[in-house]
Amino acid sequence: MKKESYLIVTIITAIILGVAAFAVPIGVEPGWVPVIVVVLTFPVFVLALFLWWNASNIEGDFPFTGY
Amino acid sequence: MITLILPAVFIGLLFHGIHRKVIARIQGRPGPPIWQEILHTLKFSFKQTWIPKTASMPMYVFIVAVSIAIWTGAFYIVFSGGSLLLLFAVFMLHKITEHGLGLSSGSPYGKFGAIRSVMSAASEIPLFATIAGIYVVTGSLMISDITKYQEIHGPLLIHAFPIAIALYIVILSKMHYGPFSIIEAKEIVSGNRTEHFGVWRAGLEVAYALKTFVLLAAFVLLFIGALPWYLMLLAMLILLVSLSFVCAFTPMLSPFDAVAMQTVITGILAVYIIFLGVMG
Repeated sequence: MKKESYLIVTIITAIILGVAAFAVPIGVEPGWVPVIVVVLTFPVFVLALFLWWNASNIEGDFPFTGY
Repeated sequence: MITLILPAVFIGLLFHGIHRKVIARIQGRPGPPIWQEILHTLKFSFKQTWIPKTASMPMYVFIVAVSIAIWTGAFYIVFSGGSLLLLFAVFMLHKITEHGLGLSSGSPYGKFGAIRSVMSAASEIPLFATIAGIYVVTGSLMISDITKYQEIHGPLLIHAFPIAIALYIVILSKMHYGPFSIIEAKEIVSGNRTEHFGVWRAGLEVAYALKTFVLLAAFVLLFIGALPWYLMLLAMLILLVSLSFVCAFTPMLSPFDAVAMQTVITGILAVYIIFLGVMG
């Protein structure tokens, strides 16, 4: 995926996590729904964030992966 | 919950750094700065990342996400006062991720780590003793009930000390550089994590930071009770330093000895729990 795609995934998951953070204080029922959302979204957020700032903007060589 | 998970990741990484520092000082080395593991994770996240040709691609990536997810769930279970059985289920899933991590890479070192992960399933057996012992003493497996029990009867660390030892052994078996850390022994490079580099390794560091935070917090909640957050962190730090001492003084055991020792400890605890159950 391209850098922009990772950024979009990062932003979407960050928004979902932000909404889930407010879901508990306002008493969304059932209470386990925001928890499930966080458990499923947080790993995607972490990996997409890392992949976003890891991805290069410029064309590079293909890395050597062995013969 | 997310507002607590992010600080927990950083504190977990800081704990890993303190762990390394304490071990180094005991062994007469200066050791890395305590924030080294935070830098380490950031460094990995900036490193060039790809998927090895020999790897099973979906599993190779998915297993990192699953590792983060299960410890995020465990964080919620512990801090919402959930069931110990669910925490036990997380441990089982963690064992599967350890195994999958090694197998997915295709590297022989990773596979050795994965096989050792299966062999060291005995490290989970003392958790049976913890769960059974706590149930016999408190009559409940809900962490919220166990902390309430301790408000009335005092810390379980005092009047159920052998059970605390059981969980201590479980946590010790999950610490880096510990006597039971046979899945990441240096003779197999980094064991099951050998082929996970770059972003994937950074993700694993996040998962393991959460794991350390959750396990230390679970021990404090189960055997000392609910504390204000600063005392909780202090108790977790003291527990961590004691684990670091054990790791610094104890050489890594051979796989056979690690399994034998954990099984013997569980056997002794089983006798203690039967004694508790019979004698009341």
